[in-house]
Order: sequence, then structure tokens, then C-alpha cells
Amino acid sequence: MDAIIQILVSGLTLGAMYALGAVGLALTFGTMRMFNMAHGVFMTIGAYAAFSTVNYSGAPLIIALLMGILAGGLIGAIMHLLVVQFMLETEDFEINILVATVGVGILLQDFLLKVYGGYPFSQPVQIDGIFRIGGVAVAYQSVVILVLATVLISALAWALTRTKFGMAIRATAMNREAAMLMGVKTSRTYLQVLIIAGMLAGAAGILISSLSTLSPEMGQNPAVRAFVICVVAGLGSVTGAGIAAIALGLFEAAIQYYFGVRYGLPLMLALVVVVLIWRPSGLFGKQEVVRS
Amino acid sequence: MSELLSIKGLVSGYRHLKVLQSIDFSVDQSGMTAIIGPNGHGKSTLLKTIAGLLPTWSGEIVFDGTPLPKGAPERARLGLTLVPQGDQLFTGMTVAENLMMGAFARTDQRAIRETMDTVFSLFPRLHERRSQRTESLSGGERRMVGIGRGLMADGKMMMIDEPSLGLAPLIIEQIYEALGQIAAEGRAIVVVEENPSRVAKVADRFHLMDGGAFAWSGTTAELESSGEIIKSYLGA
Amino acid sequence: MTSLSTIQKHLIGALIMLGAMTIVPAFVTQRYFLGEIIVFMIWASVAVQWNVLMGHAGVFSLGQMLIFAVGAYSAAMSMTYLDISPWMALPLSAVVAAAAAFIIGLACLRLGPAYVALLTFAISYMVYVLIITDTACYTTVAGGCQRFFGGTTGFSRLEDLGFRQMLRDNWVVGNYFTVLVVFTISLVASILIIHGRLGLAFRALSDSPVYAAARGLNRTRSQLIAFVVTAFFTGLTGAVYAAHFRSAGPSLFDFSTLLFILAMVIVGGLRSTWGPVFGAAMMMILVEIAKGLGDVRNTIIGIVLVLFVVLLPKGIAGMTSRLFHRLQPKRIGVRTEDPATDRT
Repeated sequence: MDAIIQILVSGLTLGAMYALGAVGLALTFGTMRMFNMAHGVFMTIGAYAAFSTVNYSGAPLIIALLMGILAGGLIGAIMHLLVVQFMLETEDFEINILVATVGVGILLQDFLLKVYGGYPFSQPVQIDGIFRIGGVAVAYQSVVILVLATVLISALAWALTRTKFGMAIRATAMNREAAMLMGVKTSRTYLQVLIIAGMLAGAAGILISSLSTLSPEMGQNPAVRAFVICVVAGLGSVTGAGIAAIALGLFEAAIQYYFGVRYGLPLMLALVVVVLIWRPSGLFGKQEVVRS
Repeated sequence: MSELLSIKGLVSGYRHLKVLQSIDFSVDQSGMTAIIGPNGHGKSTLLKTIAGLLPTWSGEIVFDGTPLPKGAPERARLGLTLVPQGDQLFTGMTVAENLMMGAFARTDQRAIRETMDTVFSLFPRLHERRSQRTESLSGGERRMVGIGRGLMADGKMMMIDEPSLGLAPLIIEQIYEALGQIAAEGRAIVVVEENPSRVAKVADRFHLMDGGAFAWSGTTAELESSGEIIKSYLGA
Repeated sequence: MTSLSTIQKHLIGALIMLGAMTIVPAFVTQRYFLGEIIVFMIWASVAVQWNVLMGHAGVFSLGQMLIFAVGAYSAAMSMTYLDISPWMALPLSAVVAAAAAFIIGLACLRLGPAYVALLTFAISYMVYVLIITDTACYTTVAGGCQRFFGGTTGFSRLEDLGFRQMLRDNWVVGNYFTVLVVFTISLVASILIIHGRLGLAFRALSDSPVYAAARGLNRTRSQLIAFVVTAFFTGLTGAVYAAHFRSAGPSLFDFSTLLFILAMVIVGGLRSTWGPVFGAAMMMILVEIAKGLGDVRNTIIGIVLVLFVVLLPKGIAGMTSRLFHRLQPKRIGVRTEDPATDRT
């Protein structure tokens, strides 16, 4: 029984963090067919922004949290304005944008390294203490992670289905040309999408760093997981990414519990490869396999 | 000033391929104009260029008294609606959501409701299916959503690319009946159609497109009297 | 112009360049510079193969350093555990790398380009994590713990190629020629692939996928072949890297190394034949010059990647060929302006 609770608690915590990271990535791909390789660094930037807010101004945690989220959104906007918007609708966009965002990612990571150094800091934006469910110790921070992830993802879901700008995003994702014919200014929609994805990444970064430490390359591991989640869900499927994130979080927690931390990611990846052989366009994706 | 759309010397095409060769074209404030002719001669290109999906290489387009801005969204917001070929619906959305997207540029919620009621009275089927996803609809129903979505913009001019494409004759008749009604209410409609006999009854101006230019233009009466010329172009 | 085929022209070009490189050691005697040229040839070889795979076969693999590392690790492990000579280890490692690519390719290549990129990236990262988190000692070497896959320290002090005994102080010249031979093999192979049957198949597949498929061309199979073949040469290069440096370690998986080579390919120009060689030279020189400014390697890589993709997506090769075309007298290449005749 305790084993199950333990797996559930850590699995849901993991899954919630993965979902925050993966949903933004899926939204970006779904709307603009752009895979953002700098997504992991967006997470790192959010984490450092929250860290700095507390360190230099001593602001309350909630302000620091908001600053981290805003920093993620800001960097998304900057990347769109300086790089992405010039590449839209060019030949080989899907591959070139991967290369460009890889470049942006290494630039930003290098920048963080120069500003903060490689020394791992601990994230002050978190709540200490534990409570018990049965025999299992649960950290308050796990609850914070679950609640925050749920709130943010619900807000996104609400915005996408109930607001006008959300409808514009979905319409653009489904059929860009038709959306333009409806009067949707797609260039603005793309900017909004990158801001949203950046904000979600920023939040994910803060939460992830609260469980480990801050370092310039901290975004890489969660980004790889987010990639894998998006691939298994089917690129561009936002709901699918959320569900896959929770499922893979639970799966990983179970693996870690029974086999050790080391095998979490590899076995998860093995599972993903099996899934893809069975369903090449992901669990929730539309048929998109290259026909031979 | 009775011309809603006035085009002079329009040249356009895809990437490096010039398709439209200096087109002069005008549309009145109301009534239905049909652009007919065989496939692959620039009918859709003309509509896409007017809508702003394709860039204008040269020539000028004046709509409602002002030169058109660049970009499809901006033109749509001026009341220039294009119902594209093959519907191009938002397949992951419901019928009602698709219709609401049609009214994206509008803000007056009450007026939008009224337009939606008009669309539903024109196509009662859509009312039955309003909360169904469009990917599960039949071809005819999809076309209705496409046209209904165009109507939701409440624009000044609606261009429809091949409304009969891929539909059964009975459904085509229904669709054209609806289009006739809309035109009769005093709205400007431009229809692209391969086969003139389908539009002969409802349209009042005809242009025959051949090789990227108008080879013939005329009224309904003139169309009837020059049937032979048209037939030779259509290769019938 | 005589009637030389494209492939012959490229091969002659390769011969001239490689011939020039054989006399370099006669003039350049400093070990540092020869070492730099060796490194250039190694990365250029990886870049050349990556360009075949990404630019021509359309496989956007981010797992090239994994393949390279498989080659290097196979060489290191076979030398350490099986006690075979480095010369035997080279071909063996190339085969192992090709086999690894075959398995990865089977899992990935049915998917679209973005999926392939992410999966290959994720698989590389996973292998990296597995290697560095390995803590169990497999044997003890010189009093130290030797993990089976090397752990965080990797393999070092491998048996050398034998030139230290043979050539004494000039051993690096021996290594130079060994690497040059591998680079030659890799470059010539890439020319033969790009301008041979396989390259033709890829051009057909990208020009008209439907027609090519109708003629019996199978995209996934062709891509798998390209993936395995390029992996063979990439793995061979990895093995010669291990033999030259007498070590192999997890730093091969460094993201920045992957991007360094990606930058070479992009700067040179995807879809070209010679682009990656120029790109490799340019990036090496650029980073060498910038060394004086402090630790700016990654900054340069980032800026170069972004600038080239945004401003010059076809790379230097694309730019020069465009210039070349502009200088040539206008041919009949002007497109016919009549849409009716143009669309049949």
C-alpha cells in the first residue's frame, strides 16, 4: 500500500512538472510546426529569474514565482521577434528552425553560465516541510507543484477553448490559411504562442529546480523528457502531451521505485520507441508518417 | 459609384510562375458574378490574390473606394470574404465553433447571434449538427459550414471557390439555391465554377478565364447567345 | 569543357585537395598545428557524413555524436578488454557503429523529420546518462576502478598506433597520415553516395515523392541504408579519434560538440558536396582566432548557427553557386511565362 502511495505521489509530482514543460512545446509545434530546441533553456531562465528575484530584492515567493514565469514569456517573445519571425514560411522551415533554436539555446545557456557561473545553487522559491499519508512522507513542495501545474494547465485549457485569442491559436494550428481568411493575424498568434510556451517553461523550470538545484544546464534533462513526451503523444497534440506526461511520470516513478533512479529515463525511452513502432504518429497524433 | 471592387492590370502567380496576365475586373455592389472556365487557368489564383493569400505582382485593386492593404487578415477585416476551395474547415472544432471563427473580426455579440440565426435558417442542417465536430460531417454539410462561416463575417463581398466541387448534383442544387438567396438579399458574390450551366440561372455577370486572362465577358443573355464560343473553350 | 561526369569532377577535386594535404607535413612541422589539422580532418569527416545524411538523405539525425562515440568507445573497449591492436579496432568499430545505426534507424526512420531529430537526440542523451551514472567497477586497471563503459572518466592511455616507436618524435606525422586516410575514405565515399545511385534516389524522392514511390523507390529503406552507411564512416572516424588521442570519454557527448559540427554543416551549406569541408575549416579557424577573447566558443557557435540559418540558409556553398550562376551568361533557363503551357 505504502509503495503505491509513494509511487503515486512522486509519479504525479513528476508528471505535473513534465506536463508543464511538454504542453508548451506541443502548443508551439502544433501551431507553427516549430520545434523549439531552446525550450529547456527557457526553463532554466525561469528558474534563475525567480532565484535572482529572491536573492536581490528579498521579494515574497509569489512575486519571485511570477517573475520567473514572466521571464520565460519575455524570452519567448524576444526569440520570436529577433529570430523566428524572419524564418516563417521559408523553405525547410521545420529543419532550419530546429537549428536556429538550438543556436539560441546554446547562446542563452552560455550567457547564464557567464552571469551565474556553473556553481549549483538551491532554489529559494519553495516551501519546506513534509506531512504523512499513511507511512509515506510527502513534501509540501510536491503539493505546491501539483497545484501550480494544475492551475496553469487549466488556465491554458480554458484560454484555448473559451477565449477569442485561444480560438485563434487553435484555428491557426488546424488550418493557417483559413485562419488568415477569418481575419486572424497569424504573426501575432505566433508571438502569443511563444510567450505562453515560454511562461509555462519558466514555471516548469522553477518547480524542477526546487526539487534539485539550479545550474545552467539544468534544463537539458527535463527538455529531453518533454521532447519524448511530445513525440509519444504525437507532435502538436496539446491534450495528448498533458496525458502522456502524467502517464510517463507515473511509469518513471514506478521504475525508480523498483529498479533505481538510473533506469527511469532509459526505460521510459524504450517504452516510447515501442509505442512509436506500434503507432508511428504517436498516441494522439494524426497520421503523419512519411509514406514510402 | 456602384463598383464595389475594381481591379486594373492585375498580375500574380505562385513563386516564379506567372499565372494571371493583366486582369481587369470589377464587381458591383450586389449580385452574383461568375468566373468560369477550365481548370488550371487561374480562376482560384485570382480569388487568392484578391483575398491577399497570394501577393500582387503588379496592378491595383480598389475595394470599397480604397486601395487594399497587404495581407489576408487585414483584407478579411475590411469585409472581403473568401470561402476557399475544399472548404478548409477547422476540423478539430465543432460546427458552431467554425461559424464563430467566421465572425472572428466582429465584436458586436448580438449582431453575431443574428447572423448565426440567418445561417441556420439558410442551412437548417447546420443547426442540427452545431455541436458536432466538422470532421464527422458529409461533403455537402462541410460545404454548408464553409459557406456559413463565410457569411458569418458579414462582409461586403463574398468570394466562393468552386462551391460545387465534389458534391452530388442534388446537393449542388441546394447550395446554389442558398447562394441565389444570399445574392438576392443585395450582397455581392463572386463564384468560381468550372461548368457555366450550374451558375447560369443564379449569376448575372460572367467572365470566361483562359490562360490567365478573361477571354470573354458578358451577361446572362449574352452567355446564352454565345453558347458555342463557351463550349469551344470548355472543350465540350 | 570535356565530357567529365559530375562524379569524376568531384573526385578529381578531392584528389587535388587530398594530394595537397599529403605534402603539408613537409612544411608544417609544429606538432600543435599538425594536431589542429588532424582535429580538422576528424570533424570534417563527421560533418561530411552528416551532410550526406541530413542534406541529401533528409534524415535529420541529432545522434551523429552518439554514432561517433560508439565508434570511439568500441575502439577503446576492444583495445582495453580484448587486447586487440588499434589497427584491428578501426574496422571493427566502424561495423559496430553501423550496427548501432541500423537498430536506431529501424526505430526512428518511419517518422517525420522532427520526430527523428528528437528521438535521436533523446537516445544519445539516454546513452550518455547511462554511461555517466554507471558506478560498478568491471575490472581494476592500474589500481583504479575501470567501469565497463568507462563511467565519468572514460577510457584513457590506450595502446597507440605504433608510430611512437617507429617515428619517435615525429609520431604525430604517422597519426596525421592515418587520419588523412580515414578522411579520404570518408570524403570519397560521400562523393560516391551523393552523386551515385543512392543520391539520385534521394533527389527523386525529394523532387517528386509520389512519382519516386510509384517507380518503386522506398524512402524509409533508402534512408536506412544512408543512415547505416554514413554511420560506418562516422564510426570509423570516431575510432581513429580514439586511436589518435588514445582515449574516449563521455565528453564526446557534449552538446556543444554536436552543435560545433552542426554549425560546420550549416555554414558550409546543406545539400552541397564540399560545403561541410569548408564549413569545418571556417569554424575551426573562427574558434581558433576567437580563443584570444576568452571562452567564447559556445557563443560563436550559437551566433553562427542563428545567423546562417536566418540569413544564409543555403550556406557558403549556396552563396558561391548563386554567384557563379550570376556570372555565367544567361541561359535559356528563363521560365516560360504562359501559364497555359507551363501547367500541363
